[in-house]
Amino acid sequence: MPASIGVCPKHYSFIKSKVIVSIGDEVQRGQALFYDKKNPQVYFHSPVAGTVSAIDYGPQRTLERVTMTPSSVDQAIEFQPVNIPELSVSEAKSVLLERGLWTSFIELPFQNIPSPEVNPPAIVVMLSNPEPFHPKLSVVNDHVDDDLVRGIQLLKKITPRVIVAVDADESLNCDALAEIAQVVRISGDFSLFDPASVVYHLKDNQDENKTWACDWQSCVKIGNTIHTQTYFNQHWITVGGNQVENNRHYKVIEGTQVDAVVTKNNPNDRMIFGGLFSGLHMASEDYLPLGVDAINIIDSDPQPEFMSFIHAGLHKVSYTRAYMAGLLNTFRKTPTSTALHGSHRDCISCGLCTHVCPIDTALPQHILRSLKGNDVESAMKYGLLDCSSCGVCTYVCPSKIDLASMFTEAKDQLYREVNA
Amino acid sequence: MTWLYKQLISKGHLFEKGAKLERLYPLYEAVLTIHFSSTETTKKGAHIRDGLDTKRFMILVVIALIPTTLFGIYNAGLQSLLASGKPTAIVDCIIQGMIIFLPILLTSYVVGGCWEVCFAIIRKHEINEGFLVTGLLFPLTLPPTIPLWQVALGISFGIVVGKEVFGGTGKNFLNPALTARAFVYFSYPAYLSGDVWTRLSSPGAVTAYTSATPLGIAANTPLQDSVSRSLESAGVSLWNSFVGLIPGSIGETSVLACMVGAAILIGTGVGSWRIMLGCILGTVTMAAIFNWVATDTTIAFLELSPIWHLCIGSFAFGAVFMATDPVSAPDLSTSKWVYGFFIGLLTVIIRVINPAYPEGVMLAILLMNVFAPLIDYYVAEHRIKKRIPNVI
Repeated sequence: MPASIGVCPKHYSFIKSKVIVSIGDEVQRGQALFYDKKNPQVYFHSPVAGTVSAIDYGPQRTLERVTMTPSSVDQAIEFQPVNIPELSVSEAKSVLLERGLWTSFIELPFQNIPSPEVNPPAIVVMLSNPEPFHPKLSVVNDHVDDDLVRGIQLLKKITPRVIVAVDADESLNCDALAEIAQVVRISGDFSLFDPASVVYHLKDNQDENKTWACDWQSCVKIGNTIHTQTYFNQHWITVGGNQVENNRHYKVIEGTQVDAVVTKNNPNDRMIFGGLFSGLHMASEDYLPLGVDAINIIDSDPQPEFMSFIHAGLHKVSYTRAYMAGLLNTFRKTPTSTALHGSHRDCISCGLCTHVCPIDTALPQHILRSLKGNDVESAMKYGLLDCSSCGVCTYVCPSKIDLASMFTEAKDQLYREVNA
Repeated sequence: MTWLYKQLISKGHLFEKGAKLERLYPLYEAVLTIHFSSTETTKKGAHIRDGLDTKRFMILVVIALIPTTLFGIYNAGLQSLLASGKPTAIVDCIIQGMIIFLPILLTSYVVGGCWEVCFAIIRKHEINEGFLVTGLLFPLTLPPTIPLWQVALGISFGIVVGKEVFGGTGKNFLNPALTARAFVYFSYPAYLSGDVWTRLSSPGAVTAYTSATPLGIAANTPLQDSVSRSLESAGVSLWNSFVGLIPGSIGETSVLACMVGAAILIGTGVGSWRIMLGCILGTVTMAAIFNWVATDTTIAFLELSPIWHLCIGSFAFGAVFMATDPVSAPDLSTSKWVYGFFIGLLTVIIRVINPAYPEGVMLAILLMNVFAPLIDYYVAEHRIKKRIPNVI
C-alpha cells in the first residue's frame, strides 16, 4: 500500500469541485470526497480507506487535491447488489452515480464529464491504445474477463449502441464482446485510435458527434464494482521511455503518488503522463490520474549540433524524407528526446499537418488560420470539433507550431462559452 | 566548436529582454541557430518533435539549386568567351562565369539580407531562412549583363514589397524572387526582355553584345515559316536548349540541371511533384491545342511543338523552383494539380499570343500565385461537403 493517495480535480476537464470531507476525517474505500458543482449528482470517491491528510487549494480557491494516508485496515463501503438485465436507463445511471463510476465517461467533442440528464447516442469503449508504451489488454489478461463483459452490459443499459474499438493487431479473442456490442477492428496509425477519431469514422448523423467514450480499464472497474459491491481501485499502468531501464506493466492503486511507482534517474529527464504525443507534463510528487495508463520518461537534455541542417542526418527521426534516415531507415535506434529540433517560425504552408491528420476531411492549416483570425465558425467548418487532439500535426510541423494545443484551447474556450 | 558555442551562449544575456542589445535579438538568434542546432525543448503539446525544421527545408532547396547554379556559372562563362572569340577550356569558362555571377549573387544576398535584418529587428520577428532561397533564386533568373544596381533594386523590391510588408516569410502571397524579377523586367525592359546580352570578357569600347533569345526568335518568326527551323538556323537546337548551352539568363537555360534539382526536391519531399507535373501537363495541353488550330495564315509560333515549349525559356526553372514555393502555392493536393496545370496553360498562352512579353512563365506563376487562395477555397469547400458537420 502506497504511503499517500491523492485525488486531483484538475485531472478532469471543466469541473467546479466542492469538497465534502475535512482534514483528519476517516474515509472508507468508495466514500465520496468532493462533487462537481455544475453536476451536483457527480461525486468523486476515495480509492482507499484512510485519513484525509491534506486538502490543497490553488489560485482563486480552486480545489487542487485531496490527499489521504491509507490505513492498514481496508474498510470499504458496501453497495447494494445489482441485477444488470433488469435495470432501466435511469436506474443504470444511478447505479453508476452512487458508486462514483460516472467519472469514467467523457463526452465528445469537448471531453467533459457528461451530464447525467443526457442520454448518449452511443458509447465508444477503447479496448486498445497503441500509442507507444501503453498497457495492452492481452498482456494483462489472456481472455476477456467477466468484469469487462459486465461493464459493457451496464453501458448497454444506458445506450443501445456500444462500440468496442480494438486494434486489429490485438491477439485477444473478442467474440464474447461481439455478442453484446459492435466490435470494430482498427488498423493503422495510433492517431486513429482516439475516441474522437473512431466516432468520426463511424458516425452516420450529426447527433453522434456527442458520443460518450470510456476506456477498457473503466469498464473493468464498473464491472468489478458491481460484482464485488465495493469500489474497485486497481489500475494497470505501463512505465516506459528510453530513460527507464525496465519497460513494464504495473498494477497500481488509483491515485498513487508517482514516486512510489518510478523515480527519475536524471533530473533533466521528462516524465509524461500518457503518450509522447498527447500526454501531460508531470513531476514525481504528482498523483496518478484516472484514465491515464502510462508514464513515459524520456531524455530532455538536447545537445547543440554544429550546422545540423546540412548533415546527411542518418540518425534524425523524421516523418519526411528530408534526412537520409528517412530514406535508409537508420533511425530506429535514435533515442527519443524532447528536443524541439528547430526554432519557431511562421507557417510555410508545407501541408504536412493536413497530410497526417487522422480526420481525413479536416484541414488543420485552415483551422489554424481561422483561429488566428478569431473566426471560430470557419474553424468548426474545417473540422475543429472533430479534432482528436492526437498531437501528430504538432509533431510534424517544420515551423514548430503547436497546432494541437491551439485547437484544444479553442475547444475549451468554446465549451466555456456554450456552458457559461 | 565547443569554444565557439560557449562564446555564443555567453553573449546571450546581452540580447535578452530588457538588456542593452535587446533589439538585435533576431540577429543573435540567426547567428546562433545557423551555427548550432537549438537546444530548446518542447514546452507543451506533443513532447517529441520531427527532425525537420524550416532551415533544413530551405537548405534542401538550395542544395537542389546547386546543379543549376554550377551549370549557370559555366554557361555564362562559356557564352562570354565564345562571344569574345576566346578559347573555351572548362576552367576558363568557370573563372569567367564566376567573375560574372559572384558579384550578382553577393549583391543579392547582401542587399536582401540587410532588408531582412532591418525588418526582423523593427517587426521583432526571427530572421527567416526562406531568404537563403530567394537570394539565390533571383540572381539565377537574371541575364549575365545585368547592372548590379538593378540587382540591388530588384531584390529590395522583392523582399520588401513581395514579402515583408505582408509580415515576412509565410505571409506573402507572391513568390518574392519572381516579384523581384518582375520589377526589374518591367522597369528596365531593355535589359531583360526578348534579347539576351552576353558579356564580353575583355574590356574595350564594346563590353557586351546582344542576340535574340529563343523565345524572341520564336515570337518574331514570319508567317508560313517554321519556328523550330528558324531556331535551329539561329544555332539553338533542341538538344542545346535541353542541356542549356545557349545564351540566356544565368540559371534557366539548362533543363537537364533543373531535372536534377527536381529529382532532389521530389526525392526529399520538399517540392511538390503535383505542381511540377501539373505545369508540364498544362504546357503540353495548351501547346497541343495551339498546334491543332494552327494554319498557314496564323502566326508561326502556334505550330511550335510541346517538346520545344518545355525546353526553351525558363519553363523548367520556373516549374521546378518557382511554382513549388510552398508559401505562395496552394496548400491542398488537388489545388496543386489545378495550380500547376494553369501555370502551364498560361505560360504557353502568354508566350504565343502576347508578343510583347515572350517570357510567359514568370507572369503565369505570379498570376497563379494570386489565384492560389481561391483555388484552395473551392477545393476546401468541396472537401468539407463530404463530411457530417460537427458544429454547435
